[in-house]
Amino acid sequence: MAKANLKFSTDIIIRLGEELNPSPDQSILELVKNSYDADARNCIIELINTGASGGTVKVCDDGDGMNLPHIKDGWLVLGRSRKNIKTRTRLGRIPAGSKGLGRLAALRMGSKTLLSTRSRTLPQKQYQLNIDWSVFDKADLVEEVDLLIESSTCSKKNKSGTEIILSKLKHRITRSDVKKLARSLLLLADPFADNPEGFQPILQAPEFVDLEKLVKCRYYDDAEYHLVAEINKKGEATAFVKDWKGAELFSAGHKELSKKSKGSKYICPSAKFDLWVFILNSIAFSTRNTTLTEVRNWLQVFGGVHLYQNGLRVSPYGNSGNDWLDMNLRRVRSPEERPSTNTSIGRVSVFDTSALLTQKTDRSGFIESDGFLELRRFATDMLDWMALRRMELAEKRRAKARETAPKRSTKSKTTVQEAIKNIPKSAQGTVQAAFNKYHNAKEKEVTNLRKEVQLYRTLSTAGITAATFAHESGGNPIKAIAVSIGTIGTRCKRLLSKKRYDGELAKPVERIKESTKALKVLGTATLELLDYEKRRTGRVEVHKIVHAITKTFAPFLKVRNVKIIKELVSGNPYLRGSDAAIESILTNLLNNSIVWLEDVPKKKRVVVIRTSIEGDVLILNVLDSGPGINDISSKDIWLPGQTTRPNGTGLGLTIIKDAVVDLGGNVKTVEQGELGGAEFIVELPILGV
Amino acid sequence: MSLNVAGQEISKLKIVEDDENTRDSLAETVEDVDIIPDKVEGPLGSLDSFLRSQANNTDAFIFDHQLKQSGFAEFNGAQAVAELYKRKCPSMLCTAWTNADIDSIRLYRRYIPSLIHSDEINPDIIAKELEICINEFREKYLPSREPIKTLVRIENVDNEQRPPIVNAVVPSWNSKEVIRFPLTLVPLDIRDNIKGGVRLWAQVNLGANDHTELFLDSFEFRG
Repeated sequence: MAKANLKFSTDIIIRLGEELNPSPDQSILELVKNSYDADARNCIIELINTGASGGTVKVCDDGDGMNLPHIKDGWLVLGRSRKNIKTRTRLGRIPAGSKGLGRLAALRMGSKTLLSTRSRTLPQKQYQLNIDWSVFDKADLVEEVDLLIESSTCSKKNKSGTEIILSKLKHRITRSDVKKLARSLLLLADPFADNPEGFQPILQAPEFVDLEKLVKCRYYDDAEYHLVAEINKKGEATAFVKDWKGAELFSAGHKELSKKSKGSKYICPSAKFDLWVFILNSIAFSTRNTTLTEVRNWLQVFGGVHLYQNGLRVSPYGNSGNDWLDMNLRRVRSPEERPSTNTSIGRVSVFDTSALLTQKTDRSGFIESDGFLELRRFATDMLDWMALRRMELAEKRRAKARETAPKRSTKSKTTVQEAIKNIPKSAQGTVQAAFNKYHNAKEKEVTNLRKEVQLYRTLSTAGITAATFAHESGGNPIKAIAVSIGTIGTRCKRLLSKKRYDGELAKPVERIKESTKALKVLGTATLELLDYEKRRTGRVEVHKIVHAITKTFAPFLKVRNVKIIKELVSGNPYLRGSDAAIESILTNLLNNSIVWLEDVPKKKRVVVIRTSIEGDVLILNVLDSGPGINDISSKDIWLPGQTTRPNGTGLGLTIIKDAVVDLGGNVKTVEQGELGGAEFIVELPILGV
Repeated sequence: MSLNVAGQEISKLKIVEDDENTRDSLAETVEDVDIIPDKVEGPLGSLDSFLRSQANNTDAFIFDHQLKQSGFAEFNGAQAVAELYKRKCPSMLCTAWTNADIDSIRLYRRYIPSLIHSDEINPDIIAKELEICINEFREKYLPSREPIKTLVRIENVDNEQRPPIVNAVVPSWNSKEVIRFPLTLVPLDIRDNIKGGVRLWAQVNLGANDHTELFLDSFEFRG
């Protein structure tokens, strides 16, 4: 029987060192975390000539240092950590390092590594270890390379600590890496907590000085809202929101906060979520000492929700571009009362003494375990709750404004009247007349707005009711007609001779079939307009919508003998917007044409939908052979409520205009276009073809 | 009265439809295929109890999809068709579905070989669709129904909707079209892996003519 051992090729060091090295800033951060675990208060990182390859990185701390066994059985052992998460350090810190692999990634950044360390128990004795990585590259197996640890005695004044020098760096560290490192170092030990006794890593680089100033700015007092939420050991949440003065606005217990998940508990470690939400507009900042730009810059660099595990930040949560709580997505869907990563700053602090959350080996965040997903559920539930409460507040504000606005208006009017009495009599008449004119115009505007609101409400109600009826009629009566007429056709063919069926019944049977289809379109079109997906912002392919709408309308147009001609430019023009917006434009234009074509003989009913491209603008022309725009100026047709049709709402064209403007385009009309009827020209900026 | 479909005798077909008029008109269409229609009266209770009491004494079924809204049954037609597929009982879904119904149908689409628009139903269609079902039980698929293992790329998950909706692309079907399906279609043990950028293996009918025909089944996540 022969004895053998598993051996490791030196290639494994290259693999682990290079493949686990996500970026230079993350690698250096690993060494800084080792300093934290060694109870250092200060840690200085120096970058010397690192703008090109061959530079040097020094990481020097005043921690507890290492003795010989610590180096041999801890620091040099890869893949196992002596750090036990359940055992706190001398200063009560929970160790951050786990597998010791992150350290290898950092050490391999240079061609040589020099470790110097003095332990807290015997600071006069210094151990030094020099690793020349080129020796490993030449050797076959890891254990073939001997490493020598030298000891020396130094002055009694020396204190404990560790210094690591990575020299002859293989790659340069770019300015952007330095910026990222500076940001990561500043955020590492929870700058929100403002704890002067805490861990203070310092990077000796100008980028760091600038950011350090910025992080110390602490504009928290300028936040409009401060959310504080916690989960206790039982997995139950509590939360409250304070205003900028610190007064409590809302609070809730677990039942209300976890309504979405029917009160289920959060199965994750205890955690605290703080979020400061800012309202970044000039009105909100007009009475403050800080400027809007200052706060905006600060949020741009440090904004987002950062995640701290046992006091140390875990990357990449809260990094630029990392929106782990989908705050921006939620804000896009319902912009009212929702914070984004640019308008808020926060942290989720997890007290994870049982290691329920595990970081991925390449340090790209946590493994998405149940514990982590539950933690995220907690944070997003809190955001949802705050948004609901803020919406409620906004609604109350609006209701109050509706109530108080007329009173305020009357009061203001009296003030102006009083002021007029105090001006010289000779001028009073002219001023009074001017004021009356202004007042009358304002009243007219208010009346029009009220009418418009009433019209929108009425139409919304009509829309909701139409959708309900559409669903019901499509599902039952229309289905019964469609199936029955099919049966009638089949049976008549069987019972009568083909000649008799074709001569006397085929036409009416086909007509009922066509009409049923047309009837169904009305319902389908109504329901499809309400499709949630269509209101989402994204890439919209205009031709696709043109084809979909004309397909939907086809049976209806057939019954009305309206011919649609599509003259679409080659290619696939697309823009950023919502399907609903383009549909609103096309559907309303088509509806408009269909109605006016009622005045034209059946054979002459034509609508042309044409697209062309000029530069980065798509031109959409919709023209018909109707009577054109008469009895109303082409300027007034866009105003709400303006219609020359009996029972018309006068809203279709207003909606078109609003939708076009929202998409950054414009719309104009030709009263009598090339087909004789109205022509609408819509110009929309596009992203590509 | 009976119809021989691909060597299988179909003499009785049950019609599960909540609207009485539609039920009657469907029964007349079924009669015209020489099959005895059996109109099922509601309320039907749960799917289990319905299958226990109704599935054994019939040769085929036609279901409406929306059965829950009116209180006619505690399940919808798509669910029932999928269950009967597993029992090799030919069943058709005949509905006036709109885009809003697609998600709830897609959940079961792999096991719904026959989805008929209510205005298209006629005796010929019924005979043809029964044949499609029976052939599929014998693993003789139409080109548009044959499941083929392929990669599915997840674009994103919309958690705002209930149930959450997955937006995905099946590049070997159409690399430019984003299709949507409920997250609940993915087995529970790999559901946590579903997020933007992730690729999964799945059985997909790559011959589907449009997204309404497309099904996704047997998901596998290989990390």
